Amino acid sequence: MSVPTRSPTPSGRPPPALILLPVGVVALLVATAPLLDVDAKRLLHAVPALLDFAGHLFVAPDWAYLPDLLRRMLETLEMTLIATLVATVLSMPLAVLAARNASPHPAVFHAARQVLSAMRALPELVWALVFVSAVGLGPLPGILAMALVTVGFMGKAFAEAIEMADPRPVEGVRAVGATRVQVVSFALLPQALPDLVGTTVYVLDHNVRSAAILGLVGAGGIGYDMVMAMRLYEFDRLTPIAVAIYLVVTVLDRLSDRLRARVIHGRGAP
Amino acid sequence: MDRPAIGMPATATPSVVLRGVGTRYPGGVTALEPLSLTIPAGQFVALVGASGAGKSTLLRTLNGLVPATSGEVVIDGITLSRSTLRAIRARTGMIFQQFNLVGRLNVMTNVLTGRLSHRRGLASLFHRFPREDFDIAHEALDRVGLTDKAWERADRLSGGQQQRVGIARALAQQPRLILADEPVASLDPGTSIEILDLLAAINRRDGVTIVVSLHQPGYVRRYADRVIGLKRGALAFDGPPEAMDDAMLATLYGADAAATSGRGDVGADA
Repeated sequence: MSVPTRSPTPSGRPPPALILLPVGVVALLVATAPLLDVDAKRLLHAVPALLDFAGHLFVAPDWAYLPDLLRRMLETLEMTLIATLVATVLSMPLAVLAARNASPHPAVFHAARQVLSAMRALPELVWALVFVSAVGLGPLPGILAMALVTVGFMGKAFAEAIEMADPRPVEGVRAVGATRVQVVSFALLPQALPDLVGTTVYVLDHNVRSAAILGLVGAGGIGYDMVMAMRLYEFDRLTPIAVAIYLVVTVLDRLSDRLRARVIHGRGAP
Repeated sequence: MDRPAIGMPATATPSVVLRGVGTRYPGGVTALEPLSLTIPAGQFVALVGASGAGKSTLLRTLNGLVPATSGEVVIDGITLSRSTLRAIRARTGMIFQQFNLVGRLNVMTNVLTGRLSHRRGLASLFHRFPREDFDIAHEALDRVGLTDKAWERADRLSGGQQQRVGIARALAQQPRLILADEPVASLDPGTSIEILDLLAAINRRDGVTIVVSLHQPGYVRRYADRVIGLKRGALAFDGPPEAMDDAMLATLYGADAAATSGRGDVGADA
């Protein structure tokens, strides 16, 4: 036997938003599905083709390709590291200008936010196309594209981390007569540090995957090989490439978890 | 006890002079009715009044954390303005109810922030200080009995210890005036006595003027030379602690509070 229950509202009924929101979302999806040509029959027909593709992946790797793969993978990693490092350094000052509680003036705050969202407006791949036509093929346009989008993303994330800072230590440091920049250095950045590190390692992870597709437009990295392998049905290359990307992303993920825990809980934490 | 007499020699520059100082927040809420008063150098002043009476606002107008919207604040003979703000804050320590330390930084760094107003260079932004500042900080930590905690993270300390770090930070400023905003409201009675004893020693030994907001009449009688009472943002009492009787408490806090608090608070009249 079940006991009658009620919601913690004056009427005892669930809040209207809790009912209306899911109903609204489902209604919207049903109404718009034809626009995207989503239908169940097509999905069912796709299953054999997918299985066929998956079957091709289990092939003996092309061992002769491995040294090339390693070199390409290293190039991809290097592109990621350089782009992320440059972006981290550049996004710091922009983030301070784009944080409501650190910005010297509301006009500066709005301008900085606009610059950051403009950088994020286009995906890496599109920026890469722009830079390929500007500086030519190779890893350089890839690095520029990644750094640009990453500054846009990190700048916003850092700014939000700074805005989350407890205002009381800020008042404590202001009260001794510190300058605006000193307040940033002594009260805001120390508080935002765990978030900064968390964002940076998250971005590193994301950028490895970005770097892996930039080769698509000739902007360096493993992507070019991956696309060529797919076009030419060279599954004995495609599989090792996928495994290599998977391994790098996994190892990076583990490392970033450890680093984050260390920064948040202090030295020697598990 | 060699407590300085109320009213220092007429030639000495008063520590605080307020001439018609009032504060009105944007939106028209008056936090402080225009008031005038003089605090001679070396006085220990208790600021009393119900929550919301304007004690915190008055304290913060003295170092410009809350700008006065009318009147003139003169600290040590210098009129508070945009151009003198940092110089005045440099010599004015402030202690807070919630300590307002930077929890993720170690105790030493928190105390060294007291030196920031004297160190405008780039080095300070990288948390680098000259040896002289470390000597000052060590001495300040010694005064509050926390030498052995210098390298611990501030947020690992107990409330009473954190408040002592707050006092050490103020001492590192080598202040002429210390403002304390309910410094013992978050502490137990035993720790409260320790903190107020420290402030009293700084007042007597170094001749530092102290303005402290307090809720407990027992502490006020024990430590203060002079009591300033605020009610709904206006000056309601100004006199020696002996004159702070039940009738006056009833005016400031309401009749019930006076009847229950009477002459003694727990631990305060021990």
